[in-house]
Amino acid sequence: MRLDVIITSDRTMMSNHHHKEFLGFFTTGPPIGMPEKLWMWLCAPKLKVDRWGRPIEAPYGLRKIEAALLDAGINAAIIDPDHLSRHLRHAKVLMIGHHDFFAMCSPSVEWWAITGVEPVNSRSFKRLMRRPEIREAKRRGLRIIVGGPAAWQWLWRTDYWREFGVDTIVDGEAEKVVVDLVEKALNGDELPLYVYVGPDDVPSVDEIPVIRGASINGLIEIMRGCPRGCKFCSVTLRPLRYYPLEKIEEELKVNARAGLKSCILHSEDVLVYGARGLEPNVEALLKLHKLAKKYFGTLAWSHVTLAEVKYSQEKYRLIDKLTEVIYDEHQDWIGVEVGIETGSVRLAKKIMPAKAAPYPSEKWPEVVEDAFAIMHDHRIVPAATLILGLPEEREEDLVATLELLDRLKEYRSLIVPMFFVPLGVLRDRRWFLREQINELHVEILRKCLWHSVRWGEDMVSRMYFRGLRYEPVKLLLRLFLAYVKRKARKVERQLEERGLESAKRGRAVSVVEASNQ
Amino acid sequence: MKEARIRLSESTSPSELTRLISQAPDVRRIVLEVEANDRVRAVERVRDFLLSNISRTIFVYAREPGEGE
Repeated sequence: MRLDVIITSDRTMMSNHHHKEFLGFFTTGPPIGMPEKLWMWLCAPKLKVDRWGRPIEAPYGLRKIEAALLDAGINAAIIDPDHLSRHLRHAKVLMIGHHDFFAMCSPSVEWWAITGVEPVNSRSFKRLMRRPEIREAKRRGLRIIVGGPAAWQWLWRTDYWREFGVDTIVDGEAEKVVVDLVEKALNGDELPLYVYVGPDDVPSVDEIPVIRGASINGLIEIMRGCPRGCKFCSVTLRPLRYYPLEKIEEELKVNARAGLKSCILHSEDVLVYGARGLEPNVEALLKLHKLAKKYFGTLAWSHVTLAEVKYSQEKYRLIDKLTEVIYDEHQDWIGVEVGIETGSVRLAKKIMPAKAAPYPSEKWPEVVEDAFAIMHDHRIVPAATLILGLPEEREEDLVATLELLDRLKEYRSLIVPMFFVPLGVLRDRRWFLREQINELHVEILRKCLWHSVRWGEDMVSRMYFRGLRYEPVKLLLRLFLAYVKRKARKVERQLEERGLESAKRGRAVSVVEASNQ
Repeated sequence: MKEARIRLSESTSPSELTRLISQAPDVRRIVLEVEANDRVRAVERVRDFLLSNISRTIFVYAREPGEGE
């Protein structure tokens, strides 16, 4: 097999994380408490590949690019990073996608800032790009095109742009521009340095290709865009598009044929699939979930919004109805990511005025708590995010967030605080640096840590890992959680004895500051 | 869709771009040719403009000073 175009990524992306998507989040962390190899085994084990080094499962975004190129008649394939050498001898174009090339997204950025140790996603990506076979192919004229949701990071890390000899960065939904770019690269024509795909150039649903090979953990899109318009998020810059059920079924079949046993429905808010505005489309959602369960024993949601959980349950009993479809002999709980972002009504009004809709922003803390209660009662386990250092954040906002955290204590969930990263409408704003952390930020970090450790231990033992084959992973996670608890107690003692400033001085500077040097 | 091609000479301040674009709000796609001695330097010159853009499609090409004018 001689490929003209290789599509790949590093191991932290090219892994199914033991078929436990949550373990993938450990790729955003530094290897603490264990050797890096063991950390990588825990969160990013190698994938099964065919005789040509093509992975059976691959990241969904790369599958879309592969499909667009194959549909255009271009000789392209996704290749596992361990099998690049033989293909690089002939290929003319190398395409690389990533969620977080340089650990500048949250939560990588705060794990790096807090521990002073570089996360494995960034280490692994740099190792990939420094491989001799890629450098040798580059000297022979290989053209390198890079993209994905973290493409913006290259604007801040032009040192690596030079070092790795990247020809083009593509930022945004690439399906409509990628074929032209690759044809230019294959023909030896001039390539742009940087492409930003604006909202007028995103593909329509019909222009989005159907994946040709299976996606990691069966993740498939059901829609693109989000109607809520939160200012810190880049997804809301793009128009809202719903996939028809027929298109969703085609991709479910691709994954089922590859032998996958579960799927993840991807959307910024699964509960608005097919909605008119924010009014849930109960019929469309029930059909969607019945369709997914026809092919897979278990399913998960990528994201839902808390307001939609509360509203859809209170008005339509939708969460009752959906869990009736989802839960059976294969599955009795579901995991999902949600965004709390802040407990402050004042800040919610400023940065995410539609996040609580159809409720007013004044009710945001109540919406969060009610949604958590509904999810707890329905065995839906949220991994929730908070944003620290939002523009115009005041002490009173942090106090409100702390109060909300107290109200969420008894709901099974993980809560991950994230440092503000300038994206979306706020992409030209200042980064939040570790030097700006104050006592209230520390208190939020501390509360989130103990909340997540408590419920994390509960989930590891009772819900997330069932079956003997997960015993080694469970053991390693238990050891890791014990290590985190020990370290956290030590830091708490230091804070009490020496105060915040001296504790901060004992750590490395933030990644963002380092990146700006 | 209205397109514009803009060449930013080595002696022109990148902030001039913002002024030019604000005069053409209906332009949805911009081909930006940036003069610089090194390819990546071309992007560095217009980084602030790129970071502030969210609504237009932009293609950035590097040009050596005086090349192909």
